[in-house]
Amino acid sequence: MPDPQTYNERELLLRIAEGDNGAFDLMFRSYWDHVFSVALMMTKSPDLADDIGQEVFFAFLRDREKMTEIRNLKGFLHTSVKFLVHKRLRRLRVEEAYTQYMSGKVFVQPLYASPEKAIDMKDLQKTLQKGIESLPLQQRRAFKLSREEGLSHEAISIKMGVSKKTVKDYIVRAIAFLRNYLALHGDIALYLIWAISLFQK
Amino acid sequence: MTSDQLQDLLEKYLADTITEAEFRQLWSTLDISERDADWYAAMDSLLENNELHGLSGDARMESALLTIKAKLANDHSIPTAKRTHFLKRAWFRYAAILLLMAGTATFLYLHNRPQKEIIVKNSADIAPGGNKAILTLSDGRTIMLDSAANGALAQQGNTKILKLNAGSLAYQSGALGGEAGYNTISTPRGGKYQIILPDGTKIWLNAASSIRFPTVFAGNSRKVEMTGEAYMEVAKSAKQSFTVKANGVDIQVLGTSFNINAYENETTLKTTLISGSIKVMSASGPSAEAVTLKPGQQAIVSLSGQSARGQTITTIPSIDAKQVMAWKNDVFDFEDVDFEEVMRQLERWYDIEVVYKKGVPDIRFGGKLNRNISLNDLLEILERTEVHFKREGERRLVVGQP
Repeated sequence: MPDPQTYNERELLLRIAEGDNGAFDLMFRSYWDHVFSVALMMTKSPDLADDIGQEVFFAFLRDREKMTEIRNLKGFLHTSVKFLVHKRLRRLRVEEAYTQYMSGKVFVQPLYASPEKAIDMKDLQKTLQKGIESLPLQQRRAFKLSREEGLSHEAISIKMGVSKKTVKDYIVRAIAFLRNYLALHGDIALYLIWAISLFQK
Repeated sequence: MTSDQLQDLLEKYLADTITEAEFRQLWSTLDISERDADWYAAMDSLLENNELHGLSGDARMESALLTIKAKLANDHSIPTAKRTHFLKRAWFRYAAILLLMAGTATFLYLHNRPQKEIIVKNSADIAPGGNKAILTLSDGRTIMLDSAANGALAQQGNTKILKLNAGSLAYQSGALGGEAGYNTISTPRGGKYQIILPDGTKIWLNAASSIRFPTVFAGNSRKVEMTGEAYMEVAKSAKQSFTVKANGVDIQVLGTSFNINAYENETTLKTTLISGSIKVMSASGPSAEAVTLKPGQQAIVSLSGQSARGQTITTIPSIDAKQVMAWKNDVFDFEDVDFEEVMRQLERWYDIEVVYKKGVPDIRFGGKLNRNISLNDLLEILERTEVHFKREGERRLVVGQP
């Protein structure tokens, strides 16, 4: 992915304002991922994060002629996403927000006893495992140490030889990744039943 | 809440280690403008850390790009005047092609999970139940509790009735010797309410239930009557016993907490003891039965005909109390529950009528669901188990075989 800093930002904004498709695509592809990623970590919902990401860039595109005034594109986009995330979260009633939070929450413990359900749950468990194995090495380690072995962030930081903040970052990202992974690859409805049942136990 | 406290909650939220109580606290800070800066600061730290990104994937990114451009093409709020008419601009031609592609791309992206369209079409979604109840005073006057304002609601003799908040009512006894009358609180289908009786006993009423009690507990016994389902935490009293009458069954209580399920359209009356001690007695008579429960036990009285006279009582030595009480925590626990009973629970919570097209499906659900979701959302989830649901009109749900 091209580093946005190597391009003359002023020129990019001018070209976008003039209607240059390629220029907008470039800008979009440079910044989309981290706008989405942060929205996902904050909202815990891939759909909502996608919506917010699109809103940020759509607003930009729609008002592109005015964007030539921007001094710091990255700062502008950051401000946009912060504002939108806060606004959208605020709009959710706490019960809705909590259900949404719980419905995507990742549980690693084994599942419940009902034999008829075991087959479906096995599939979900497999998907979850695949997701965990897809994590970057360090994040996978931190996540497993935390969720599978129940270690504190302090203990993990000692074991992995990194700072507590780094451990926290790894886990935050791992969870967001897994939420997204399960939303894309898992059967969401079943997962919802499963996740909530585990929580209640 | 201080900035530090909020930052702490945000960290827990981000790491998925937040508890429900903390979650509620966290959410309330979204409305406190002094705390906005903390939310923004948390996001700044995420935005600045490139190591935390990379969660989108190319497919999602490209799909979003297409969608945005297609949306722009449809957005008619583009200024014209001195500009070239938007139909002639390069954007439009490009966007037109993209519109077609966006259709396909979006379809592929969003529909890789097969979605059944069965349910809705012409039926408006039904919201889940909420805090609704009607209070009937001793003189027959009624008060709709959901629309009443908080605070002092009415006075019955020397007893004050206060609405504490959305969903709970408290009776406060005044000086002794006042007149006592009976009050009834009933929840409609789709309702629930919490009441604190004059002696401090707490009662949670489920949907389609009612509780009738005197506004002053005089003498050496406290007697209440209920229908439907209620969970009670009875206040201890050395001087007064506490008895609940439900569907012809008497439950004698001694400072304890228990759940009674006494819906008329269920075939059994179930009393589950959480803590303390209770005695369950089927109606008086020579063939009356009585059972004393220990915590964790459930007594089932089979009902047939109009009263429980002479019906047998079965004791279950150890019951999943969490399942019995799930409703109080706004959860449906359908684990191993008979299909028809599940449907009856839905009928009461959503105020609908369930009909079976081809008999009752031989299916038992497993699992729990938040009760605070709309009917369509719930049906979508249950549909995954291959039962077919179809809504007809506003309040009718037809169950068909897979």
